[in-house]
Amino acid sequence: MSRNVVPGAFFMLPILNATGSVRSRYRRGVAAAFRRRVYRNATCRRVAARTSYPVARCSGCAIRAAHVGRRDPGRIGNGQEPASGSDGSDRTPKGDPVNARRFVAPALAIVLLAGVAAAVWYSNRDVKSGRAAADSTARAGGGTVHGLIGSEKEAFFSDPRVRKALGAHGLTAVVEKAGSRTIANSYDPKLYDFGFPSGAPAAAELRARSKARNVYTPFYTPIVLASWRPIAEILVANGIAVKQDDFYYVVDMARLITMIKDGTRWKDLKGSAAFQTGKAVLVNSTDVRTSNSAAMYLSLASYVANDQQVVGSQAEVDKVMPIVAPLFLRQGFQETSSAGPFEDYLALGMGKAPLLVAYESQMVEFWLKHPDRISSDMVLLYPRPTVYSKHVIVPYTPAGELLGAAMESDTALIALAHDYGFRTGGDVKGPEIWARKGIKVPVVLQDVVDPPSYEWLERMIKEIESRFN
Amino acid sequence: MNRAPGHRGGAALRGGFIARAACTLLLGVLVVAAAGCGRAAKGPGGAGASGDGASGDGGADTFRILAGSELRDLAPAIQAAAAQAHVNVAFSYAGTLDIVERINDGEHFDAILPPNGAYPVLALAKKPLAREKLFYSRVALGVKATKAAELGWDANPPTWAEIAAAARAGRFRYAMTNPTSSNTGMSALFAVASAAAKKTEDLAVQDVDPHVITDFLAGQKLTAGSSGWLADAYLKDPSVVDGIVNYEAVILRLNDKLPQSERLNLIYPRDGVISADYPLMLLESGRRDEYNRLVVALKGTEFQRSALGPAYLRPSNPDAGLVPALPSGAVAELAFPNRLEVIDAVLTSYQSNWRRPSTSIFVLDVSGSMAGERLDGVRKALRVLAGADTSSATARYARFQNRERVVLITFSNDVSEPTTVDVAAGDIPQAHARIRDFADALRAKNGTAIYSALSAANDLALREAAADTGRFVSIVLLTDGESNTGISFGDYASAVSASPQHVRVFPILFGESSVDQMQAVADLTGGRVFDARTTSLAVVFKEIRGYQ
Repeated sequence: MSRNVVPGAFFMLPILNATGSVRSRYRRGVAAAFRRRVYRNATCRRVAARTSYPVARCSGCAIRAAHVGRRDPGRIGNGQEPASGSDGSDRTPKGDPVNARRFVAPALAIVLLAGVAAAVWYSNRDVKSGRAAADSTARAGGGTVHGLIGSEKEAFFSDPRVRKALGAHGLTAVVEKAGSRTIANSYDPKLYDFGFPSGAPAAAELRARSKARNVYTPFYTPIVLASWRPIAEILVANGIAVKQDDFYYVVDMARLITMIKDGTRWKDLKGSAAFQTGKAVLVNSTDVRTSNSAAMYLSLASYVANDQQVVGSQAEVDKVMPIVAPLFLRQGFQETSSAGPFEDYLALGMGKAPLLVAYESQMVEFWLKHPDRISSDMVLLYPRPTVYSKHVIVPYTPAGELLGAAMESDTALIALAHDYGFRTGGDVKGPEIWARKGIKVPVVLQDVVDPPSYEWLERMIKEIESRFN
Repeated sequence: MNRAPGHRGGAALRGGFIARAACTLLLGVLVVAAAGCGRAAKGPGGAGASGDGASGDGGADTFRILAGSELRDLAPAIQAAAAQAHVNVAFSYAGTLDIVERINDGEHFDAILPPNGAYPVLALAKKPLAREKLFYSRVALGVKATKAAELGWDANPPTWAEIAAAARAGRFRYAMTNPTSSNTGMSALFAVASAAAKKTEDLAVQDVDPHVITDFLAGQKLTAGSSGWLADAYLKDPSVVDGIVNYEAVILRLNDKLPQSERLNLIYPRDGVISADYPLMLLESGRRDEYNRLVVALKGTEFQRSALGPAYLRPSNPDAGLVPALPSGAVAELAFPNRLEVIDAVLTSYQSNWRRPSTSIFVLDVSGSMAGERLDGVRKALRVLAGADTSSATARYARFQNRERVVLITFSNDVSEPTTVDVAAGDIPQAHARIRDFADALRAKNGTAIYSALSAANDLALREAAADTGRFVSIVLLTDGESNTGISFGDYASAVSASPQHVRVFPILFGESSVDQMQAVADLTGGRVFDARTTSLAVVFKEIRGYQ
């Protein structure tokens, strides 16, 4: 994919070429898109039905613009890291001038209209929010982009180095954080220029709502269980986890989930002297109704509960629900966003969070900032199978578009992403940088599965939601 | 694309040129708009409830925070850190349930800082726009060293069930706040309920074992509506209990003030605790900028180290580190319920069935000066406690409860015969109706024999306490003036001093009542003064219920 093509130069020409035949091209475009979608869904269903791979080939197809015919079926879920844009959520041939021509002229017309509408709107309203107030001055400056982001990216955006690197593109990012599902449901181009949720399914939904032409995947991170050495050793003693290469643990999700289902308590486990509590073995997560990391945990758990298949039908939802719903319902009160529980993990320790669903990036970032804690009791358990959380920028406005392009292609920003523990595409991916600082993570993860499509993920979340009430 | 490309949103502009064109187009418009932009002026907000006076000035640019009442000590440090970030912070204080209710009732605050974020998140009608945990404190048990050694809890932390057994056997008496008013009481109650249900995870109503809870509550000898006041009460007279349920931070601060012999061992029950996580929750979207600056300042290493350390609070910033006095070992954390109806069911059962029953004596001034609006206020407040207001959770918890004995005494020149209403299951609506009838029949005339009335109430209270040692007995005094007939304060004070035990009197400042006299009465009996001069009597009565 030519994801790194600088968009500006490429699309100047088509604008000049746009003519009166735009309208009919438009219709053709709609029809073609519709045909492709139907076809893809049908294909996907067939592929899904006959596949023997333990992966979801067609996850997200219902809402993604994936060109299934071009996808290498062996590629997804076989442990390769997703290069940016390879999640299927952005397969639009961005560099295709014909395509571009088809869109740009009407786009320009619409922007002019939108500008007039905005003028009327701005002059006829009270100040509704801080954003609007700040906005009027900021936008006048030309480069302020407002975004709603997953909480774990907040520190990245407030870093002066990131601000400077974005400044080189004429951009100033003003961000608010929210749970990823909230972001997916909060599309509002009046308030924000982009959404930056932390998972491909939420991003796909947001893209569908915003009708964003492009999305950008500047970084990704695997889902891990943040834990403590004594806890990891208890799991090893009970055959649930194994230590790998002497620096990380791999936990067998199927066995862990069985243990949770059985209501096992920590003090009942072999070799649990270090954690003699009646606390039930449970994985702490955020609230699955609002947050991506919990949705990723649900993706994993449902895959395991569905005999190592990605959930893609109501029958499968019905089958996994008795196993996966209690994983969340039994936790009691949960946070809406993943930064809070990680703070609890750090502040209250093992007693609060023996096993916490987290992003690898959160832990790597913490270790990079606190090298004295690298050899502490804080350890990472990599679930097997695991799932990647892809951080996807969905632009709503031209300014958001600029930000997405910069985030994905600027080498300075990519290097800064590594500082925040994110893995990236490109020549340098992250782990090799961290290793130089004494933080060892597995470079390649085995057995990576795709999350279900937004449709089925949403179906599962709604079913869990209904049990909360 | 799989979406119609001509759709407005789908025609996303690509390329710097178009983006810049759009920006330029909008620029002119926005500059004009900017001139008219301004934040809506903030209303002055409602008055804080009695004794919870706000701190900081109330100017238009003030960032107003409604915080947990135990944060009063920390407020100057927060305000100083905020000032450095150019945010002018003013605090008002309330218990967790009240915080939620006042916000839901439309009182204006820019943010709240409750001790535990779970309840507000579940119960706030409008969800907070942002929340950031500032610091932590575990809800723990402070037990006198000799008692801890006697029970063996110094070597092996007990389970909640073991604590309940010791309480039932009379071997452990403690102070704890009322769970319907204060977070420490609520956290402890849910910890006991979860532990007793042998469920460290989410609790359901049917899991709750009332026996362990009532055993546990049998040991509660001192109650209060706020954690801070409870600690002060312990400080004044540590002899009445063996320990206290409170934030570890409050217990350690208490230890700093106590003589060595009275110091408390921090004990974390083995099956777990529920910690306070102090989230600063933004309510007002127009204040986001100040909120962000405030969060940066308060989560900064400087504040977290210099302000939290001496207060024994656990930092949320890992760079700040723990002060040595705070144990760093693993303590299991119990889950807070994730359903409001579970919380409501447990708190309702607490009030009506589990807590020690109480005798609540109300000594009400019906002198001539009370005529009109003032007496109407009394009637209204009594009606609220007699079940007339079912709209809010706190009103429901504040109602006169099953097993409660309500004694109403009025005074002017003379002291009335007490009207006693026993509230009992099966007969609660009738009992409430009798109290409402009493309220409706109140008439004002003549003088103000405060101390004759208090003296009579004290005699009655002592008889109540002697008849049933399991009861909480307390006296509420409402008067709008100074005593001008009957016995003097001195006579009353000698009688109280000669009493075998002190029944707490909670005087309410109202009308022209004397602050000094009312404070003297509170000090004499170990009670607390409440202020209804700027707040409605109904609100004050509700707050006092936490102390009954």
